[in-house]
Amino acid sequence: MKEVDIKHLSKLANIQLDKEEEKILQEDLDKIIIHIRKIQEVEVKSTPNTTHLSIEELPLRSDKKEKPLSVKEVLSNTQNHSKNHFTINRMINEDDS
Amino acid sequence: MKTILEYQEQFKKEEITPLDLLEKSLKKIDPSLNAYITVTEELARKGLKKDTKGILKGIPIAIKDNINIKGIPTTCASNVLKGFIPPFSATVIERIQRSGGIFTGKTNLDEFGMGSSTERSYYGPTKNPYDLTKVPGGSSGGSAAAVASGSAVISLGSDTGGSVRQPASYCGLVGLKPTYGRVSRYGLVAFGSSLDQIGIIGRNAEDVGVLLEIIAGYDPKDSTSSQSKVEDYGNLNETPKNIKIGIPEEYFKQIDTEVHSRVMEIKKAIEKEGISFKPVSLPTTGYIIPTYQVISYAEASSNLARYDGVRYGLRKDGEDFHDTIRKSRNEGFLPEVKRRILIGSFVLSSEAIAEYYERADLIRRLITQEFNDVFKEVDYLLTPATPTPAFPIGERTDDPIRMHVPDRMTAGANLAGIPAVAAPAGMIGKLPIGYQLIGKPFDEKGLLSIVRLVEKIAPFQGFIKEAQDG
Amino acid sequence: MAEYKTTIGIEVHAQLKTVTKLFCGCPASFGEEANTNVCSICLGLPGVLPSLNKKAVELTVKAGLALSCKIHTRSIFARKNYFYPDLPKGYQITQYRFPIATSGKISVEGKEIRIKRVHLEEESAKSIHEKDKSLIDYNRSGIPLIEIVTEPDIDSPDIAVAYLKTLQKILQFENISDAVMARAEFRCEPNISVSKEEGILGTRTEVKNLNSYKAVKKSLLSEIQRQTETLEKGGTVKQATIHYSEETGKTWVARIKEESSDYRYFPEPDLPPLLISQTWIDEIKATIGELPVQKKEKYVELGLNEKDAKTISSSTTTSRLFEGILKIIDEPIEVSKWILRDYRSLGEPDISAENFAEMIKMVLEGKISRNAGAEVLAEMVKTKKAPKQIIEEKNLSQISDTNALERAIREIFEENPDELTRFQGGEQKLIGFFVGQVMKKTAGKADPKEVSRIISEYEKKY
Repeated sequence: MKEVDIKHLSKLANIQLDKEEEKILQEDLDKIIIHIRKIQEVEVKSTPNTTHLSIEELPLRSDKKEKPLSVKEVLSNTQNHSKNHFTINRMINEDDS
Repeated sequence: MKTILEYQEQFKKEEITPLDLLEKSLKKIDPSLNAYITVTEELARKGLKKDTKGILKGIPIAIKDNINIKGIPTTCASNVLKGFIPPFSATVIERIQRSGGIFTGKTNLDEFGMGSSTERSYYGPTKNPYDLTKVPGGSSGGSAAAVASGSAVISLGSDTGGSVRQPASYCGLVGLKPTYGRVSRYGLVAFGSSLDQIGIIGRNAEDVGVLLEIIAGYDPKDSTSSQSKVEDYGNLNETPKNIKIGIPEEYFKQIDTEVHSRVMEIKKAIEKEGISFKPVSLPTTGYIIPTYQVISYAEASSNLARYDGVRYGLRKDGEDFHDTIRKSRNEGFLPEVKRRILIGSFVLSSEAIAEYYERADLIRRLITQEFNDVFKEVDYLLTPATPTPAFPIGERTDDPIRMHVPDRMTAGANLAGIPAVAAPAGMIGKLPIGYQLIGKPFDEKGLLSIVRLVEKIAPFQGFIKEAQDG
Repeated sequence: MAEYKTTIGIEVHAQLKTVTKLFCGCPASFGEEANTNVCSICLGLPGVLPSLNKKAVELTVKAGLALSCKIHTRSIFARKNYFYPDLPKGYQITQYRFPIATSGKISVEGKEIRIKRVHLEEESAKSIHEKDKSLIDYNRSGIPLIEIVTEPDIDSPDIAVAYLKTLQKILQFENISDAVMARAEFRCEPNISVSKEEGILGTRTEVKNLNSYKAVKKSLLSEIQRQTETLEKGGTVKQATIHYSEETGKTWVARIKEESSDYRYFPEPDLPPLLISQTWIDEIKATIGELPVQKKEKYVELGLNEKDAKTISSSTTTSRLFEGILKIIDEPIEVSKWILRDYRSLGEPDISAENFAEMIKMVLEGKISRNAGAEVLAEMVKTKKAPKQIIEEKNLSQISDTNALERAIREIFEENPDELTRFQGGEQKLIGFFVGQVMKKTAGKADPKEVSRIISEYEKKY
């Protein structure tokens, strides 16, 4: 059984936890996982790969323009903007294009 | 206490005006209940001035605060959405507005819909109007409390694992979770995308059916919404004939004896009308909660990834951009949401995904197949809506495992995408308790008709006085 | 130093030529003021859901067909989960296990490059970096992208560049993408490894941030050198992301991939399976033209040399005619000669492939001489009459009948006794004279080859 590693998960989830929180959450998660592991008991054969329950098929939208939000509306929910752009601390270029 | 249609009659006869009804409702808002996060009095008054003709005209409706109304804050009871005001309304909101409905306010919930008590809210717990020391249920506890206490005639909630039906049970109301895809999710803040449905909490089946007819139907903005025909869900005077109702034995284990009795009383009343019952078995019931946890937490971990403070919501500055996002999220989410995001990330992680997420998906198909099979023998299932009545505030707040216990009754319908309704079975002491009916896909009319029948032959006597005036 | 074999695979992202974005109705255009083509959906606000653009699907299918892929009638969208400020939802909607197209191929300079997959996904936002902060513009967020991935079939930087140029031309020609590299509408990420051992691939690195074909070629050459040197020194090549500097012309390791990102892919719950009917696929297939360079490759496969193949494929008229005739007679080299010489010298006029084919057939069967054929061609162009009719009217049938020819030859011999004596004495070159005389006598209708053959054997008889 795979163990739950709180440090690794907090990176995946992008949530910064302090040491105290890490300890508590590690305990919580260990307890919860024991219950979740119940699904290992069920016998399942691989069913054919249908990934959705609903049999509806994906409706397609026609390629026609719709009115976008105004720049004011776009920026209305943050204070962090400048020159009509959203701003954040300097991003280190990973491989941006 | 009138039905929606009765209010319309009164409006027509000018016995009461919509403004009267609104003001009466607003006066009943009790701050100590903490059912509302935002009261939208101004919006409601403006709504009354509009010249719309519709079956919902002048009806005060409470909206769970994870459904967007343009220009009104949506908080999802979370600090992470601090200050967020959506520039668009949910499709259901637009449909209600076109039909004349008005909004009393945005109601309290467990943060992002994650919980069964409406205690895990950034804005504090909501109290059960029947007993202020008890929870109203969750996560749509605010909506249930608003209707039970009379400040709204009817309300919208959302149901991912039982979040409409369980509060309905604890507050003596009718709570419907429609078939997955019956009601558009566009504008509902996503928690578990393949499980979520907007649901309705009201005082009786007819009201619920009337509102359902307005909000149901295909929405091109929601690719998972169904093209299935919208029926006249408010027309419930005919009970389906020649039906059989199943009693699944697994749902009657580990429940309070009083709960068992109340549900059996409902069974007896229905049997007297000539409808037969049959014992059935759903062996996968024991796996419902862990399967639900894996799938809903996985989807939640992904759905909540957008809350990074970049474009909206709480921003806590850090040393670099990664740091800023991580700090904002840590400060913004309460512990239960953090737990679920972390576990959700775990079950999707490359080391664990086959054993957890993919396995849970297979079990989900088994659970669904089991319901399909049982519906070849019977047309509906009767179960308790919850294993106990409302529990005390604080009893389970920090117990993530116990908090899921009521989901055992309700989450199966979400996993299988089938409709289910909770309705009052009676009282246990001072607290109401509900029964649940589960049905086949798109048979909301059948479900509500049976609830209507029960209302006629065994009417619920436990409505709160305040709700009954006007 | 042992021979190192280079293996290259390339991943290309191209922005599709649609009016609107992939999942919303915002204009998918370039270069407007920041955040003016943004809506609740492409901004990732709480409560939004994606709505799939039909045109984007159509163009992806078209790309798959143009690359000879199998188009899947059922495909699935998936979430690729990671955090970055230019990714508004904290996940990208893409395709993972069940893409729209797989298993294609493309011919590049005579070599077949297999296409592993073609799928559809959404673009991220654009960020600009200042000294102390970064600015984000969501205009680009949600624009439709296709991703095209090859198998590692490319064995040199030159072929890599040739592949990219061919692919770019196809996308532009078919109106799938404007594919302008400078506008970042056409981005390529080659991965490359070197190996001494037969059948064993080395560790591969991924080169990013390439903005020109020159950069592609130089970076790959540099990377081959870097990896080779590392291995020669006894070191190991680590899996890494490589950046290339235009100034130094060298590649360097930007990031070691010890811990590759865990994207936690799972099927997108907000989008049911995409169903593409065979009827729709057939409709799209009918809109595909073939690129000149693809035609050229095809002609080379038929046996033409590069030069001739290129000439015929470069004009729609000649290529169409060439292919039309080949449908009727399977003689690519012969037909190519007729097109390259006779047809082009006539000025590439209007002519039916059926008639042209019939004329060539009759020449090949010996019913008329080649010269007669050229005459028939000119007449067909002028009068639009069928070859049989022209041959009859102009009495151009070639005499191939041996008896008739022998009679004509005997007559010539009788008329030219001196030459006959000289021929019998050994002057072989007089065959040509006699053939010429026979041709004159038969008004050009004799089959010169046959005449020549008979005279040669006649000579042997004596």
